[in-house]
Amino acid sequence: MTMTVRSVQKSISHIILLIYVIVILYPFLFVLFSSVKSDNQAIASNPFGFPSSFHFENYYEAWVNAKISVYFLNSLYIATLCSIATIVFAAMASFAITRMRFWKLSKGMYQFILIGMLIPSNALLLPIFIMLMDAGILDTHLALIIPYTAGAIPLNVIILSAFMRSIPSELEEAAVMDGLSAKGVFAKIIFPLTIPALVTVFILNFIGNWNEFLLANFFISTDELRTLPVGMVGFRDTYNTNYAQMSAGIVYSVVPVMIIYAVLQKQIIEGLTAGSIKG
Amino acid sequence: MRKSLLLIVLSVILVATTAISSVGAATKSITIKVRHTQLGESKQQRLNILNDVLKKVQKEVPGVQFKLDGVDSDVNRKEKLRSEMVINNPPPIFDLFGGSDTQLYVQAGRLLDLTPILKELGLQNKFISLGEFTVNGKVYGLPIGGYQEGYFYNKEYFKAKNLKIPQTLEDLEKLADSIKKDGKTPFAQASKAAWVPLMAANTLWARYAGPDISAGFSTGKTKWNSPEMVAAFNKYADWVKKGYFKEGELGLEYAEQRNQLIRGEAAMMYDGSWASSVFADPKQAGDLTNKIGYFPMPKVSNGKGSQTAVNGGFSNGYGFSAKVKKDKKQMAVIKSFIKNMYNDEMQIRGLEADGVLPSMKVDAGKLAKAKVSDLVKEIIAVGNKSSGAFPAFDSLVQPDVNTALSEGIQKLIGGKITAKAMLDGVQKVQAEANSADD
Amino acid sequence: MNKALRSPWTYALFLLPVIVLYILFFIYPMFAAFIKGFTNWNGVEAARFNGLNNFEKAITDDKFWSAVKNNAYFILFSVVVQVPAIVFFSLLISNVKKLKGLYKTAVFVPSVMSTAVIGILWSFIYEPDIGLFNLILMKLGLQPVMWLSDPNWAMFSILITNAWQWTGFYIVMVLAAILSIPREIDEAAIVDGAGSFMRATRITVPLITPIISVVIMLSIAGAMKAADIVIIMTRGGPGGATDVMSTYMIKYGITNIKYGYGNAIAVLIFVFTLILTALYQLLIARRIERVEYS
Repeated sequence: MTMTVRSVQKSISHIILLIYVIVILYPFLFVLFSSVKSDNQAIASNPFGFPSSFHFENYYEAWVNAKISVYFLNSLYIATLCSIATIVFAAMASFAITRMRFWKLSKGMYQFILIGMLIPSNALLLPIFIMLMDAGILDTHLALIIPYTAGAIPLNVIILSAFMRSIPSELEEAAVMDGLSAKGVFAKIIFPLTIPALVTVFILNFIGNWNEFLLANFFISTDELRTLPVGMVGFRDTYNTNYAQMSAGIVYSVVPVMIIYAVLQKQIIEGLTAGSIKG
Repeated sequence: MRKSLLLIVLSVILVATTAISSVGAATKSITIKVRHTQLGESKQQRLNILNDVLKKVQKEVPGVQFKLDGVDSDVNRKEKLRSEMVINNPPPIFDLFGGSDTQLYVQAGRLLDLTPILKELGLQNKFISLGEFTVNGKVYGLPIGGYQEGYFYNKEYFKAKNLKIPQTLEDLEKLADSIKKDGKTPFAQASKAAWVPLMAANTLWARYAGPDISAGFSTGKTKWNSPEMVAAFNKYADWVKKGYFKEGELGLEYAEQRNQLIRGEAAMMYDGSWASSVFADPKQAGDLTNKIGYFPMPKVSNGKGSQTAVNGGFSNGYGFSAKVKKDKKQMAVIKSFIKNMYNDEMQIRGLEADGVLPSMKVDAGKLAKAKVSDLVKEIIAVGNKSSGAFPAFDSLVQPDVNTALSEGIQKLIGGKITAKAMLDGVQKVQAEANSADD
Repeated sequence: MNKALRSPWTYALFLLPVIVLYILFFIYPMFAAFIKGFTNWNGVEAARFNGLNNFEKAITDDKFWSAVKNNAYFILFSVVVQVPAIVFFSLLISNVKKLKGLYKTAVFVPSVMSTAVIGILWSFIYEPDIGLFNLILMKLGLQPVMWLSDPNWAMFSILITNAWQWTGFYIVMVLAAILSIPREIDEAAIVDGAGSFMRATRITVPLITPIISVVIMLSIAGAMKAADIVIIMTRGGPGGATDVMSTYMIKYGITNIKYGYGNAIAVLIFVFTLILTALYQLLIARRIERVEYS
């Protein structure tokens, strides 16, 4: 009897969870179907079903009109560059803080950087906007590259410091005995050992930069310089009445992320959740 | 001092981080950024005209490259250009609105004085009105065309149902009632951006309170919450309540309002003359191509002032950065741009291809020969019959007041506020803005 | 020994990039906001000190408080609606054996999507005529709802989208905590005859309170940051009904060219965040024994 109660319970669990999964995934399916329907009328008359005819020209038109390729490359290079720059800088700082023999100063530095976690990023939007205007780099990619690189610093330093603290000190002591300089210890011993944490942090930074909207929306106005999220919203605002084409645009911006997620899901989930807990 | 320090620090980081960055390679020939607002399908013709003008400029001034920078009109006007003006870094050529925008930028010394160039090119008397771009007798911008606002309507539907063009506001309401009864939306509207519903509201209050009232708000001579204004907005709120607009239109983008008309869902639409080109293009207007008519906001009995004035003017065009003055080559480009953009040929082309009303005194003979749609002819006829034009309120009041009224009209449509309370609030902001100006 | 690790030059060199960037993009802007917040700076003319005027104007402006209220809705919605749902679904997933990986992977999908794409996707779902929700409502013979354009529904609609985006993320976090509870505890309870509901409420939930507390803290941080989803879905409209503090700052600071005022709002956002963090520490975090997760 208990067996049946348990199996009924299990089935109910599965039913509830499957409904939840459908709620999460169905909107994507809806968009996928809509993207090959002929027009708004076709979507309205047969909203849930499989398309009756396939209109792949929507994809061509969205590609041309939405300039997805331009935005995509902008996002890709900015997100990659900034993610790498941040982890390199943060790793250097974390090394100095956790491994070099300036304990008191390092403790102060660490606390100082920790304050950054308390400052709400959107409150800084206007002051940073004005600062970038003063420097004359507003509406260039630098207006995103530098703030993105800087913005992830506190979290990266916290995570990497935590990781580096757990590396036993015997290792570098031996290395120093062998005549390695501090730079050598960093480059040859600590950095390689930190790679798992660096990968996590890289993914964290990359997804954050890839998806960033607020700064990109306000700091960049030249169409060719836009990143994918802002470009997509602009596309929506200009071609908002053609839902089939808009759906095709959404598919373009979702698919690459889906593929990366499918391949790297374990690392991505670990990276994102670890990042938030440490923060 | 602070700036230079900042620059040094930033450039150090720059070198450190972004050797790979592909930004900002200097070229020998000069590159001039042109900020335009001709985005999307409906403005393709206007973009073509701009491109052709730039090509001509390139021929006249060798070694110049143009970088087109298209930004949504509202975003450019309210955010982008405004912030560039703050740091004195606008593009050399940009889309500019007359009225309060131009005045503000002139005060800050950001706009190029065009008076000498106009003189040199012999254009000083060629424009119908440069009033909105003139500050202290000097001209700082050139309107690309004129506009006028009124009701577009579905001619076929009116014919089929035997509906007549309304002469009074009561007629208009009766008309709306019968359309509503027929199961259609009387007025197409899409109010996600508040300036859209404010077009009809602006003319409605001009009928009730007189076309000159809007000019008095910023001087304190007239008040937003005067009884006539309240009556006008009460009427508007009444229309909302009666279901004259599509439900949920507060969430729709501007382009969606003409689609309501094109799909046959709605029978009338209040919009600017710039929308006329859409109805001449079968790709966009479908079955309703060339089947749209136009009439002005009808008169209000007991309304103040002229009852035939139209909301219209010459408020949008191009302005130029004051910074180009120092650079001879850039000045040459600006001159060539003005010469090639502002002439009979381009004015007629804009009218023919796109229904943009001329902003210049085009040769009457050429104008008569221009191939324009019936709709554009109707629009021109309405303008000729009117007692005159009054500018849109947003070129007359401070930005804070515009924001307050924009929020207000959306709340009014959403049923969240009464007309009186809304206008009291706007007046409060107006009073604050007026006192801050002194 | 260890001379290499005591070189002050190397130390400075290693810290330099981080410190410079950090000061430039965190500390300096904060100070700049504080200073400019007390001026009437409009960006064009020179800034003039105007004391507490900006702050006075903000705290007497109903629209500012309506924006604060919307930030509060974000927090309330996540604490009252999302957190119980998160715990519920995490418990469900932890209890099933089959398909566990699939559930985890699927619910996490929205967390890797950009808010821009999700905002666009959902404005499509909320579309009055051909949007998914209204089509369903009409199939059921119900009145369509004007999700994003009705001031009474707009904020709620945004909250739903926000919850849809982030619930899965927190589920995965809580799930990891549940799965790290030693099996022996659960098995001992089974031996004692505790039913699954009993085990969930008496054993699992108390053991995962620290992570729930982290979820609440992250929700608060997220709520204070919320801006992009609002800009994308409604631009703060209709009629300011969905403005949050950040979009209020953009509208009344940047659009109205009142940079002094905008900076004052930035300071207020900072102050509110500090107050919330302090409250959280006092009311929630202190009561819970801190458990280290890694």
